[in-house]
Amino acid sequence: MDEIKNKNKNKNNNIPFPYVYYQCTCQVVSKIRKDIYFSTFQFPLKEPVESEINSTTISHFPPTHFNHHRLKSIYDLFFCPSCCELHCPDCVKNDFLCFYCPNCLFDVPQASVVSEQNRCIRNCFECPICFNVLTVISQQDTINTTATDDEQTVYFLACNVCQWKSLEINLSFDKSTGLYLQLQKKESILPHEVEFQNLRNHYDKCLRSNNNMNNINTKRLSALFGNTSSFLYSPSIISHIPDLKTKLIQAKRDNNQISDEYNNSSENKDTQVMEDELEMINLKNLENMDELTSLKQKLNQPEDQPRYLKQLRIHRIPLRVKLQTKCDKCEKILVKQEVQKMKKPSNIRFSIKSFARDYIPNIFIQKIIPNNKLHKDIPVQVLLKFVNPLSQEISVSISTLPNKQNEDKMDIDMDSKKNSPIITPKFSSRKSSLNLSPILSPILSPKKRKKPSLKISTAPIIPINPTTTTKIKNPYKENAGVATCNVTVLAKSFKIPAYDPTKEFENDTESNEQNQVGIFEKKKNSVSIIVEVRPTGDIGDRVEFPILVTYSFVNNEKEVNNETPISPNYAELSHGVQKFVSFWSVIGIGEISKECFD
Amino acid sequence: MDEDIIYYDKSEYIETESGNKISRKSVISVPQNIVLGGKTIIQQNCIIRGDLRRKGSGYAVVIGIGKYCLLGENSIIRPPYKIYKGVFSYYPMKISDYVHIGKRSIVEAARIGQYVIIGDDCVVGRFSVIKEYCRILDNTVIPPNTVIPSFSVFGGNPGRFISELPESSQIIFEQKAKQFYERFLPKSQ
Repeated sequence: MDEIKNKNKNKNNNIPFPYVYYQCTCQVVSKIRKDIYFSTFQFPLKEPVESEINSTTISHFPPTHFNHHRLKSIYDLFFCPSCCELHCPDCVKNDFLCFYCPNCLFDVPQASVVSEQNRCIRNCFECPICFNVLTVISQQDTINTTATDDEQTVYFLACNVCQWKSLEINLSFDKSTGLYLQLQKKESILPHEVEFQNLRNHYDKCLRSNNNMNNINTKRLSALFGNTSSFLYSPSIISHIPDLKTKLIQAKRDNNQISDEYNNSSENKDTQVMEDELEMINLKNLENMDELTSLKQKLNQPEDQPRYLKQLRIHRIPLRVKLQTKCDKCEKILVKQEVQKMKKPSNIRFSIKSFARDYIPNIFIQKIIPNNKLHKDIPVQVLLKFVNPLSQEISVSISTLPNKQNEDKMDIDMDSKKNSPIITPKFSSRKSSLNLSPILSPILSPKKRKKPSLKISTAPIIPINPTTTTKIKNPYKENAGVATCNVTVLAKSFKIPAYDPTKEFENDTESNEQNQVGIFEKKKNSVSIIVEVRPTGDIGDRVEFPILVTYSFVNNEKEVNNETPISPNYAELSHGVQKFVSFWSVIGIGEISKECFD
Repeated sequence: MDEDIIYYDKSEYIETESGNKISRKSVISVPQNIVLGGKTIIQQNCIIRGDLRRKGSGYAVVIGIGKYCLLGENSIIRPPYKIYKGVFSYYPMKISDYVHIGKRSIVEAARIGQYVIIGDDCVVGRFSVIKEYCRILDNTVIPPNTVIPSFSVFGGNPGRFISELPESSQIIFEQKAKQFYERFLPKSQ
């Protein structure tokens, strides 16, 4: 039983130890949305008020073990400098920057992407058998003839992996360049291409003949599907646009001269008709399975899904795309690669990059003392290293989840969590508690819902006397799935000096000043603090705890070098106003192992 | 957390002026034809074939390796060859900065860009080009003439595109490569 339980546990939380992961702001937003929904049962889910998402709100939503898989490492996160918020890859917008072929690395202009069916128009083809890149080989090379050089040589494509040759499907070329153009001629007489062309012509005619069609906003359609206006009136597209279809039917009634139904028999005599019986006989007489195609190969050619290898065709290589990343909220570009004409795909420099690690304090586990296996009730000291990447001094304050003594009066959040079964998602357990005040969603009335946890989580920003140590207990205890531990942070708030690139190569100078209690060491732009962790869970439980980090900085400089200002509200900041940003991070240090008896 | 320090036997490695650490147990044929960028580690039983070069006399760079690279144990670096117009010849190979090549891997690529991590037991085929910021998973076979675009993860046999890397991989890879060099220290007696 226990083993199964453990397995499940590991499945849920499979982040390897030790780790420091961060909770993205979007997790808070989605939780708020769920809360709003459960308090009002209204669809569509309302977006929480933007201004509500501040450091106070964030402190109310500690990461639970249910959403461990949504936690991100700092390298995966972005930071929007104008909203001062974290963003993960799930809550950003992506735009196409350019299309390119992954093989020849040529940039394909956006206009020709649609008309070329998202595939490379140069000499890049993939093997129909193993999907690797084909290379052009001239017959001369292989036979190594010493014949006259100007004689017509035959070129064909060969796969380096499976040794497939295009000669197997009787495909060869006269020239070694412009293979696509040569291939296009052969492809255009294929039955499915002909059929498609017929359909296209037919519906083109239909559309043109119907006056009513003028009502349809073709501009919008062409914006959707690209500029090749005739190309988009394929029947599948039409059937997917309800408005268009009704209009078509209406048009048909009005104008009965042309029937809109595409008459299959009238126009395409060359279409292959599948002769089932013949096929069956052929299959029965098969001696070698090697002649048949695999499912993957069939699906790679969805137009006719051939049964025999001989019917496979070579395909051009599908294009890849470069994306730029935008903030979901303010549309500010977070990551953009430099776009240079003619050299786009191979250029790898970034013109804009707002990675979280350049904005928020980077947390590392410097050391675990003693670095042995964790045992129940034997405290370990964890050195957490905070590195300041900003060019201003920042004040950091840390808080952990509330104390156990307060538990009766504690936040609804904690209360419900305590009672909730392990598997039930957090929001469903919240429901019951929210029913107590069904009208007021918790986030819309944070003041009315004054809870002791508020005091703790919105930790003071200005350094206070840190000598008073508060013992804080992780309320995860009742959640049997997660290991519990008592976490004691001595230095609740501290300042980290600014990052100075000029000092990077200097040696550390030992500072003589008296260190604050709980601070292990101070280096150039980093501070290491001591956190005492006492595991209290059972054997095999994971020791991990969330901490809420709030940091603030004052922008003293008139101009931040030649970079973009930290915030568009720069004017506000330059008046010496502190900017607060907070986020939750989860620190995992290991699993509780068997107790030692010595 | 800081990763563990890797200790090596001081007598086994030669440290050059530019910080390269080369195992005496590695096989480096014709070192005149090999250029190391500095702070590169060549571990034991590595084979670098500087002797396989185009015909003709004089000095030629056959294998160029950038800085902060790692050639893992038992890896083989061999310049690519082909028959062009009936003549068999070898072609030079370029490995850029911050490239890690895993244990027991065989590399015959034409060019490897910056910040590339090649796993253990890989085969990188002749004339393949690996662009910047790529990761080749363990046990991958990259067929000859493959081009691997930036920010991609390749794996499998034959090696195929598996996923994309995040944009921040440059920082991660650089840190990893630098930290590895800093962690690679002689055992103090």
